[in-house]
Amino acid sequence: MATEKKVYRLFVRSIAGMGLALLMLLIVTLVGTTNALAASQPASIETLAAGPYAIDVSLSQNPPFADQPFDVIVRPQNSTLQLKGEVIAQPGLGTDATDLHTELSATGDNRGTLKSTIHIPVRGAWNIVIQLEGTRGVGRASIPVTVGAPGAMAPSLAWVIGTSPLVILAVFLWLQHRYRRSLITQLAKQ
Amino acid sequence: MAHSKVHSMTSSGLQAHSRSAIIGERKLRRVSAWLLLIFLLQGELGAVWDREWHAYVGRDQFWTPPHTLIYTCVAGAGLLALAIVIWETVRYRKHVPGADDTSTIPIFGLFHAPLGFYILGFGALLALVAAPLDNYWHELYGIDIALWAPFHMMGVTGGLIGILGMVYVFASEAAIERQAEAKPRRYFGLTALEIGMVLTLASFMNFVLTGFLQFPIVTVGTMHITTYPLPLVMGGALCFVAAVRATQKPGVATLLTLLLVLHTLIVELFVPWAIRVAVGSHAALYRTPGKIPYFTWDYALLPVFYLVSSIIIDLFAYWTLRRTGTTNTTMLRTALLGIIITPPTFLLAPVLLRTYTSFAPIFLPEQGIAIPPLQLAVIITLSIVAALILGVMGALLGADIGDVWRWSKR
Repeated sequence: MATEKKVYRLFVRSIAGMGLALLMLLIVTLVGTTNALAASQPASIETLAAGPYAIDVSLSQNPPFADQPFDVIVRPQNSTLQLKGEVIAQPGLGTDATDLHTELSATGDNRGTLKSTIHIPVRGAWNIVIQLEGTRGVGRASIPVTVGAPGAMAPSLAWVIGTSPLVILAVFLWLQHRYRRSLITQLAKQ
Repeated sequence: MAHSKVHSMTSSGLQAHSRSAIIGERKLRRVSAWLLLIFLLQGELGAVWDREWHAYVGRDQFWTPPHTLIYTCVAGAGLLALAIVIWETVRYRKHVPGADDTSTIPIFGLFHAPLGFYILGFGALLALVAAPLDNYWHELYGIDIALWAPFHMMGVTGGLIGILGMVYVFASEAAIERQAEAKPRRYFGLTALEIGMVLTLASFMNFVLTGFLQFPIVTVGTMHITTYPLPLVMGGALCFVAAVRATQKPGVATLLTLLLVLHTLIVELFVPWAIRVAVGSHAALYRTPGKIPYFTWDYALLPVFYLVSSIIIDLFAYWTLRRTGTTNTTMLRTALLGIIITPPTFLLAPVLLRTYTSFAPIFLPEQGIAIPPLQLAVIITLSIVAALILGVMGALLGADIGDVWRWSKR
């Protein structure tokens, strides 16, 4: 009986521990990869298919801020490809702006890396479109970003404030768990 | 003065006075509970309307029609909770029968009221505090910030806490009623208060559904993984198990699913119509010309994917009841139940959603890039494990708070 209880406790603690670890992992991952919807990572790297070209695209700022230039670096997975192209910043739904075109220039490394520095003048939803041209033809890939106003509160701080009630909720649920146990004890005495 | 009047009464007069005071106390709390449920239904419609307003029209100002609906609900429910907490405290201090330590809890040594009203008040306060912060965030980052913005999360958490508070209000009254001499009328084997509790849980689940497609996409290498099944799994397990534990009635989980279908049906009947009317009366423009919302059965019948899981829970509860005389079981079995009910939700939701959204599949590989089989296997395994863990956590949590709802009169 005692062994069964021990096994049971171990099981519940393992589940709770895994759950907590999963929650932490989820929070960290979600904050970093929410389609750039006010995500808090200072930079991001994504692997995309621009038509026939598999590329790694990194942004030096994510989220970017209006009127603050940031780098878009495109690295083909096949370094022998001689690619050229441009970055087109397209306003997303609800953003009042026009397309912005910037040439991608070779960085000169031996991996065929291309780089462009862009600046977006209007806050809101944008799509960073990478258009590439090479021996296999033309290909396009797109990354959605949300551009913040200059001087905006850091997303990390906002997330700390915004998710703080979840901590209170977790503590409350833990107290309810203990309250339930006390109720069971009371009922057993009756 | 009140005391001297009471002490001067005869024994039978005193009993009659106490009885009438207790009836008054019950009426006060129960009428409040039903009023709160009306506010909740209003807020529920407002929340889905707001989500669809963002999609079809956009968020060009704070006081959009759906925001008006949401925030009048939040303010109304919050003020009602505050009024009840103050009123209960006064009654407690005046030693009014029914408002005592068995049915209230003290907070800060100052207030004495049922726990549910505190929770509800806190949730409403949180949602109200989140509103200006969310507006500030929209001003900084534009109108197209979806659910996963920090202060949206804060508001949503406030809403969920508020709904939990309402369940506590109904549950404590149901627990008091259960121990009363008079047997209440039952409908489908449930008292009106228990039905109120199940209706509130259906609203809670609808709230989970409202945000489901807004859940972010996690990218691992070139694989995009939709995370919406996780809240669906955990929310379903929690609410179904809690409802059965709190009412001790097999069948309640299925009833909850059917009530949820009723909610989504009403929401789907209301929201597209409301958007069309509001756009017309505000002379607003649709974001995408020609893209106008109309009723769809896809959303109205969405909760059907819970049907298999809820039937499994009910059958298990029935089997346990027959064997032991109670639907309660050990936590180990509850955890196993959480594991069993997860796959139906996890597998059926994407199938039912396939015509509703292109994000229905859980695994969305980057087109044109092959994923190594080992990486794919690891991603799929980890995703299934994550869903199972959340299913188990939901079931265990549901068992915990379901028992508290069953027993606690405070």
